[in-house]
Amino acid sequence: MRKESYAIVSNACVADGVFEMRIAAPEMAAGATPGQFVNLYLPGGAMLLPRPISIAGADADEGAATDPSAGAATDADAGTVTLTYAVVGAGTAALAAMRAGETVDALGPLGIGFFDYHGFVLPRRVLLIGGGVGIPPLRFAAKWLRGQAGGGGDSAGGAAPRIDAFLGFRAEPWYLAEFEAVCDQVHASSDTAGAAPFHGNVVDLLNARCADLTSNEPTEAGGEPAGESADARHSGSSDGSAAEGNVGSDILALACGPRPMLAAAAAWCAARGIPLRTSLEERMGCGYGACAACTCRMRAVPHLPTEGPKPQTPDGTVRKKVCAHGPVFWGEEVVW
Amino acid sequence: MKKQFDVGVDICGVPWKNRIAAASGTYNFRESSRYYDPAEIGCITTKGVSPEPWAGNETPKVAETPGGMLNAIGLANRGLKGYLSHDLKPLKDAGATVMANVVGHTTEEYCAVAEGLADSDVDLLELNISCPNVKEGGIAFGTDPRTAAALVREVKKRSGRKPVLVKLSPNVTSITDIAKAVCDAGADGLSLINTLIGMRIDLKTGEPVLANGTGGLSGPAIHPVAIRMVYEVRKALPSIPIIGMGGVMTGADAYEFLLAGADAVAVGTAALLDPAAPPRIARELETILFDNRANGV
Ligand SMILES: Cc1cc2nc3c(=O)[nH]c(=O)nc-3n(C[C@H](O)[C@H](O)[C@H](O)COP(=O)(O)OP(=O)(O)OC[C@H]3O[C@@H](n4cnc5c(N)ncnc54)[C@H](O)[C@@H]3O)c2cc1C
Ligand SMILES: Cc1cc2nc3c(=O)[nH]c(=O)nc-3n(C[C@H](O)[C@H](O)[C@H](O)COP(=O)(O)O)c2cc1C
Ligand code: FES
Repeated sequence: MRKESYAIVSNACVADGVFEMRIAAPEMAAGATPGQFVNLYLPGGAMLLPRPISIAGADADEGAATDPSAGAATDADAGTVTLTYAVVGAGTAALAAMRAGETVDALGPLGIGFFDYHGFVLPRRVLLIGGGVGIPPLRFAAKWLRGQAGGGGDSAGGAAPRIDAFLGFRAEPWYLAEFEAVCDQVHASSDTAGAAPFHGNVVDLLNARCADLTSNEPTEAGGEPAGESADARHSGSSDGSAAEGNVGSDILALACGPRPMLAAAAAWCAARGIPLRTSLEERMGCGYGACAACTCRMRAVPHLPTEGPKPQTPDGTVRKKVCAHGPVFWGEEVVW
Repeated sequence: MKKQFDVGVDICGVPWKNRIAAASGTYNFRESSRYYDPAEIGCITTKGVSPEPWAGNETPKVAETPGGMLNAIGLANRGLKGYLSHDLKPLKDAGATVMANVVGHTTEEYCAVAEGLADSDVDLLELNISCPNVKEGGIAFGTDPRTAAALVREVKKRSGRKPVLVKLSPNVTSITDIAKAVCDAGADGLSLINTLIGMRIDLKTGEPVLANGTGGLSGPAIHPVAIRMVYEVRKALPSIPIIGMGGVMTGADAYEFLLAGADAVAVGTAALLDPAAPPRIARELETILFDNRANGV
């Protein structure tokens, strides 16, 4: 892997202040796993530091075709990587000003993703918990899970998990159709009254829809799964192998979004014994593990397969690099 | 007439394949070696190492500035023991020339690291008396000529046969005074410059952007300052080996350091922005040196 210039296929506004850039990057698309990110570099020489952006979609030529339910894979998607970003400062504003046909320098895929841990097998049920621009990477996760189920090649195999998405927005929801194409159920909340079916934050939404969920009893408390296909998918995995292989739980939760939301989601999952994979953000110098700018405090979780150094300090914590040992960590690991 | 330079160079008796080094704090074996073979460049300078592990500062530890960056990493490192097994050994196994950046809070701590490295495979020591990001030690030793000289004298007693270079701070009134003092005290060479102390304030909160308050400025923004300092020190000390650094992004930037009087050049920030920058810069410099030779300049 190396830093390279990539052609911008499209760069469009998808919601207020949110842009979606697609770059032609077949190799990156083929190698990327959900939860990984890309360093984008800005032209001009004044803004030097990389802008890390999570991968919101990676359409390899063949991957998208294996499962029709994975959503439409058109020729334009083949070999592209999708990066969805909010304009929050000078760097992201410069990105938003770039046009299709221009090139952008990038390095990736980088980091450890949602499913990049030892012993991963497809769980029976997956909860996606997203807020704001943390939402797009979860769509890649859902699409990837659909592509893995029962697939050949180097896929994880097994039955497709039931996927429930819980998405929190500040105002009008966006991206819902993209989620509906790859999830069994999609629940949206908004901080703005009337903008979404549920008024409140995403943890309120979780409490309203599936307060009594626990790690080994996938309930239907969230209502009936959309269509018959979900039930059909579950029937193959009643042997419990998922529970054993997948860190002892039938359910796996994935979260991405603002840190307070992640902390609340981690507490919600911990209370129910549901293992959580959460994507963190930190200011980065290099984004690939060379400078130690991005370290976060983590605690020991001996029962989970973790990355990076083991705690040596008396308080049982250790600093890990968000860029190289993450950005996805176990919720229980993070010192919130 | 401009001077001719060979591609390779001898630094304090240690042969370097080319004149480009990785600057301290911007190379990590596990990660960086995915992008280039450390034996491809003249020398790898490793991150500051102290006798015991240091945790480093809180985040945010970096901030962007026009054409530069501030960092306040705070010399997070795994301590001498971990350094020998996790950093030095894999680098030496890969055939790299290695310079260890040595840090401490006290003279005793610097000496403990020097002593621990004296019998190791490391090729060179770089005494960091210029880190702006730790409360005690670091820069406190690098701003007064007498304190700096006293530290060098003590370390030289403990470092065995390893050449000791001293990394100087630009945050001083006269860098040549410090340079002369440490060379009189027995320094075998000089590295300059470390970062310039700076600060950014968040316009929304009114608070410094970095958790540490201040940080060290690096990158293209400091290149002319570093060129000036190398030039001055070279004039004052005609024969001491000098490794120049500060804002080198291209072979041409590195060549400018050679013209200012440096024997070799280290690349720091550029490697954070492109992991494969050091070997690229080495190739670019090589091309410049060959072209000069061919043209007889
Ligand atoms: C692993 C990772 C994945 C990310 N994925 C996404 C994504 O998919 N979509 C998205 O919109 N944003 C994402 N972010 C945040 C995004 O990188 C920042 O919003 C962006 O860098 C801001 O740049 P700026 O120049 O517009 O803002 P400025 O505030 O002007 O940036 C100045 C500096 O601060 C850094 N910075 C600012 N905010 C953040 C932040 N929240 N996290 C890390 N660094 C920051 C910038 O990189 C830059 O170095 C991610 C961050 C990380 C660490
Ligand atoms: C992230 C970062 C970490 C650094 N850590 C060290 C260090 O541990 N010891 C040291 O002597 N210098 C350290 N430096 C300073 C560099 O080695 C170099 O002197 C300085 O950055 C100027 O070169 P540059 O502009 O090419 O980066 C660090 C610089 C950066 C950017
Ligand atoms: S940003 Fe440099 S180590 Fe993570």
